[in-house]
Amino acid sequence: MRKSRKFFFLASLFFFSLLCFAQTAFQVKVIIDSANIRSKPELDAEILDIAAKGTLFEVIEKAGSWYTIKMGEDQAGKAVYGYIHESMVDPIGRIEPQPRAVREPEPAPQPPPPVQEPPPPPQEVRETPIEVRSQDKLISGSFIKYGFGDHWLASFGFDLGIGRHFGIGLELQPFYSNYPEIDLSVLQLDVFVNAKLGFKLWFFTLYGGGGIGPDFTYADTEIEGQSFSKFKTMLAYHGILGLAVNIGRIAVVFEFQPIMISDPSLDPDTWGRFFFIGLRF
Amino acid sequence: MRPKHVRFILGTAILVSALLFMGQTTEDDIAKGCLECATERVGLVDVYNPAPLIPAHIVFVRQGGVSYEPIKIDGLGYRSFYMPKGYYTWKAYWVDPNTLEVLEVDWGRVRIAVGSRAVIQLKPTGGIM
Repeated sequence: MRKSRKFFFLASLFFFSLLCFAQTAFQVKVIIDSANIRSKPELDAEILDIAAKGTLFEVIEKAGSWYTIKMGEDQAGKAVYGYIHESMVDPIGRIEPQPRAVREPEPAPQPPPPVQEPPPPPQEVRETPIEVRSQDKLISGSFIKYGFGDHWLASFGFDLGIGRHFGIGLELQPFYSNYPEIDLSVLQLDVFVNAKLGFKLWFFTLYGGGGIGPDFTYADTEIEGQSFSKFKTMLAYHGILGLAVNIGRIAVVFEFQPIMISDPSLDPDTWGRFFFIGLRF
Repeated sequence: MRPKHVRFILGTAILVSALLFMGQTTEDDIAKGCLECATERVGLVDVYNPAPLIPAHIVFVRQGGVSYEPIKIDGLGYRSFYMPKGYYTWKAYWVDPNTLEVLEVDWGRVRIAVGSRAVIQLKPTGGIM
């Protein structure tokens, strides 16, 4: 008796879990400030409502460029449906068609009108849908940093995201120093072409990569009243390991960079070690 | 564990390993240098002057402002000396022994690691070669 009660309990739990999974609806999230919900999947159809950015809707089906969404229920308890263009929303959850029979058992909802393809020039499409939006690219944006270690360094540049995890960009590192002990002034500029790979967890983005480019150095010195200057161009490359703390659209970045300037006078070349703190936006 | 956690942990491991690999003073570097330097926290520096007749003078300044007296290196000669570990900027200049006129300068940077050996080959570009 006790055994059969336990079996009944487990079976109920299993069945309930299946039901929950079956009822997990495919949703869309509005990504523009105000999105029109229309009575028909046509751009000149009546506007039923305007949805604010971030609003979630349960999707009944998708046909062409339009989602049929459930807007709620009327006073009689019947489901009310509308249509929203795909360029105004982002899908959340599974794309597969949902088992409608499970979700809407009875009474039968008012059938949605037949779906039609919209006319070609969609005038109210305010954002062009792209596969990965800029805020979803982990390695993207401009940055400015201050570096310290073997000597100070400034750093600024930008990254262009390619997909979610990868990005390439340009980084400039100017530096000026005066060594009064040996009467030497050095003006230096490193220009790096970088490739970076990033991974996000919670509000942290860990990224790493490297870059290569020219190092331009101008040195000016004085010896016994005579002034001398020398310009050198060398090859520079560096590694990058960084952590970005994302705060909205801005991130505070902490980086470690070993930097190698390949000096033909020196064997072996030696790495400079620098830590950076800065902002990415 | 969700896939994004796995990606993050795996990515962290790869990136940190790569960075640790870079910038290390390898055992090979130390073997080429001086093993006895390790206890003194110094490294070995060889400076070579390729100018045939003109002696060179080289002076080092360590990051933080500690400078060292100029060291003279005869033409086609080299000098070896120990330097405390650190990141140095150096300046070399060639002085005509007859007129005492400064003919040319060179400069660069070098990191001295404990037990390592660095070779600086001066590169005058003017007529003194």
